Amino acid sequence: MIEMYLLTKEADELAIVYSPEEKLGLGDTLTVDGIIAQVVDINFADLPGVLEHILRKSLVAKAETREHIQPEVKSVIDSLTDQRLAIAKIRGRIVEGSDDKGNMKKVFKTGLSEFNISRSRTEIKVLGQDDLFDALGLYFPSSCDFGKTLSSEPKDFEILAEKLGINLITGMKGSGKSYSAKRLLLKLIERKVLTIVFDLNAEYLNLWKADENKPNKYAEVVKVFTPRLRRAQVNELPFFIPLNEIGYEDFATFINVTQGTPTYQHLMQFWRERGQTQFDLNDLENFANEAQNEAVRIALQGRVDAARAIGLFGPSNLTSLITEMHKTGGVIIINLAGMGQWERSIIVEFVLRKLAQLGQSKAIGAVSLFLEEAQLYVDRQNMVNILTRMRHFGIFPTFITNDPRTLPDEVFTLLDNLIAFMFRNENELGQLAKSGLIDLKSINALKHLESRQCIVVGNVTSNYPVFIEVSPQFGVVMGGETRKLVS
Amino acid sequence: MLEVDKVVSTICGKIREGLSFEPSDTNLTDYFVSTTKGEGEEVNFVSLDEQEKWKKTHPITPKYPLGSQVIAIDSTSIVLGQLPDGLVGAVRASVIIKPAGKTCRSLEKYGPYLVPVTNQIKDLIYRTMFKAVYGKETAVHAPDCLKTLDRIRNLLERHIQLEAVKHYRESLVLIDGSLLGGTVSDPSSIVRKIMSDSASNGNSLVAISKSTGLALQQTQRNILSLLDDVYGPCYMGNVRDHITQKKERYLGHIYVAKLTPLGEPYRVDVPENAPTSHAEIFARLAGLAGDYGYPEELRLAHMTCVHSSIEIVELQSAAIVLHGLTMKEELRPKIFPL
Repeated sequence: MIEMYLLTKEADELAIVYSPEEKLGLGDTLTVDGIIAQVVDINFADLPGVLEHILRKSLVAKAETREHIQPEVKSVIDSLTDQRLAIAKIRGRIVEGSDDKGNMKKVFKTGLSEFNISRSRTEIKVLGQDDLFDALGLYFPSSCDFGKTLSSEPKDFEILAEKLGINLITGMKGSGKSYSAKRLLLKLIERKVLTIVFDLNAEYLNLWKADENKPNKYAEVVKVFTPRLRRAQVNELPFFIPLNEIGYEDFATFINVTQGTPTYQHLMQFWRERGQTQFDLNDLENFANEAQNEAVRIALQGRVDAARAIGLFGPSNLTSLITEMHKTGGVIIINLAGMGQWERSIIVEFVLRKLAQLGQSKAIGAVSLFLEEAQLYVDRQNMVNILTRMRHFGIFPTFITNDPRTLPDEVFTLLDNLIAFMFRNENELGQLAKSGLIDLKSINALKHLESRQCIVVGNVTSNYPVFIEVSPQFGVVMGGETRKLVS
Repeated sequence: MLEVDKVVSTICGKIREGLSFEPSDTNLTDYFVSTTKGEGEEVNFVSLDEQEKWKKTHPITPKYPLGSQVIAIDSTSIVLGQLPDGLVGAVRASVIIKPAGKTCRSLEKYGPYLVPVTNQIKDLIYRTMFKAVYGKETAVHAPDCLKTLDRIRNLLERHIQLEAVKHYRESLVLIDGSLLGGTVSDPSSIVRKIMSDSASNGNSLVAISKSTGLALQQTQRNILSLLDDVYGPCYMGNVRDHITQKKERYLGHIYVAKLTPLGEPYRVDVPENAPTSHAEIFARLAGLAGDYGYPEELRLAHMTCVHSSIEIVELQSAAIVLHGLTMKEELRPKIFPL
């Protein structure tokens, strides 16, 4: 058992002194006479006299020093200078409560209205992860392998798909956020959830491969849509926007036709005449050629030429694929790599409108949406739209970014789950605290995390911050590694 | 490292378990935990005419002894706490070694060793250690527990000096104190042995003291005052020739030296038969002198053997565990709670 002593309590922080032989880690949960506190920082206990002690030792280099010490004293010498000070954030208490069936059990309650602990008598213990998860009402399947907790006794941890809502996966470059996003994506596939991914850097394209030559078990349900692809290959299909699946206002927006102009009115007329029938750019070109007004004719022909040049308009089975895959689960990856900003915004806008339309018409129940660095292809208004309206149509977004400051504040106020990896920058850490899911002091612990270690907090953790290390994925080409200049 | 196991085993004995222990007050903010070292040299007079001092003062041309090995030895003791009939202390010695041809230094630390001293066992410990270090019996009774702890420290330091002068060759060996023999704690034979072993191994032994009991007969002022108005580096002596009483106990030549221009004066004892000329020894000493004109190697030896306040708390804890002591609460705050 760890021998720990309560030193101070300031606001909701406990300072706890313990000996270096004891095993206590970042993220460990402590019970202090019923109070639940989580270790968010570990330092040396700052004893007076340590500086003098160390300066004296530093007079002669360690390598040049030999010591003959009484064996019984050896273990004690330097133990005081190595005493640890754990900073633990009070999260609440564990009390007796009843579950839905009226059975009595220990449950976690946030807040602390009483403070009657003693420095000398209070017994401080590490709460086992099983006991913690039990009190939090977190029950994972036996096969869970998303990650392991960062506690002194690591336990398996899973992100339960049913607890996902508006999610943010963030962390600095190389911290493991994209890797974890892909692991989450594969977990969603296993739970038969359909996910649409906007893949900015072509990182997700090989998720269907076990290695360079062999498909993996996900191959059947991973589809990649690449704009301007000449012909379909294995899992990769050309991305097109069928004209008959968008409205005249969408087309006008895509190719910059100002609302209310004669050209806009002609577009409206063309769409209304075609109704629910199939049509394409050739039909629009024929319509343009018949226009009486020469200026309109020239303008429409110019837009048709521009639309052809973009290479994004044409027949597509994307809608039917979404509807079908929604039943089986899987992932549709929209490959945005190599696209200009304008083309990206057209593609994303189309897909988002299509999803909203399918959701609104109840053609699909719920889908997950992964947006990597969304600020590069979704404007602020659309982002807010995704957050506020689209979730009502069953579209659950997961934002993935290495700079949370690029996301609108609405993301943080509406956030259901935060998965935060290492950050060093104070401003970025401060931005995360805006979510209200976690305090700044706990967020500061991100500075000390290693690659693939993160804090998970939100619905998936019953709002209790859990420090985890994401487990490796086998049998899938995960991609996305930051390339090196010289390997 | 030098052989110390046999000597250490005589002082690190066990005492009866369950004794109450009142730890010494330790303020962790104290930079230096003061300890008293040595029993203080008795006052003796020197019949030197202050007017003649200029004739006996020699300038020093400092010369860093790059080609020589320098050994510096020092030790300390500290009282960790009180037992009903004694105390528990700790002793430690340091040896600083500057190898020939180098300017870097290495350190050998001996201790800390926990030493329980009670009225019941102090004679036994002292006599056993005396025999282990000096190789002969003593019938002398140990003094009070506090002084016995200092005697134990002195014996450890003498043992390390003896071992060092036998182990190292052609080195400048710096020790803290003097070459005074004929005292209860430092028999002349032992000091002579250290000197002779030094000489036979080509070592130049130098004892440096920050204070002395030697005073000028005429003015009753300490001999260190001889260099009060003299700029260094310089040395003055031999003062031993002018000692009025018990001269035979002073086994080396005695000088007063300032090793830097504005440094403090020190008493420096050098054996007459040193393998290097005394003038050369002073040149090398001045080459080693740092702040306050004190040889840097000896300063390091002192600073590395002193127990920091943190170590004292750790050693108190080790003593409690090792000897099964029970903490005694201090009576004063109980009687006078406010």
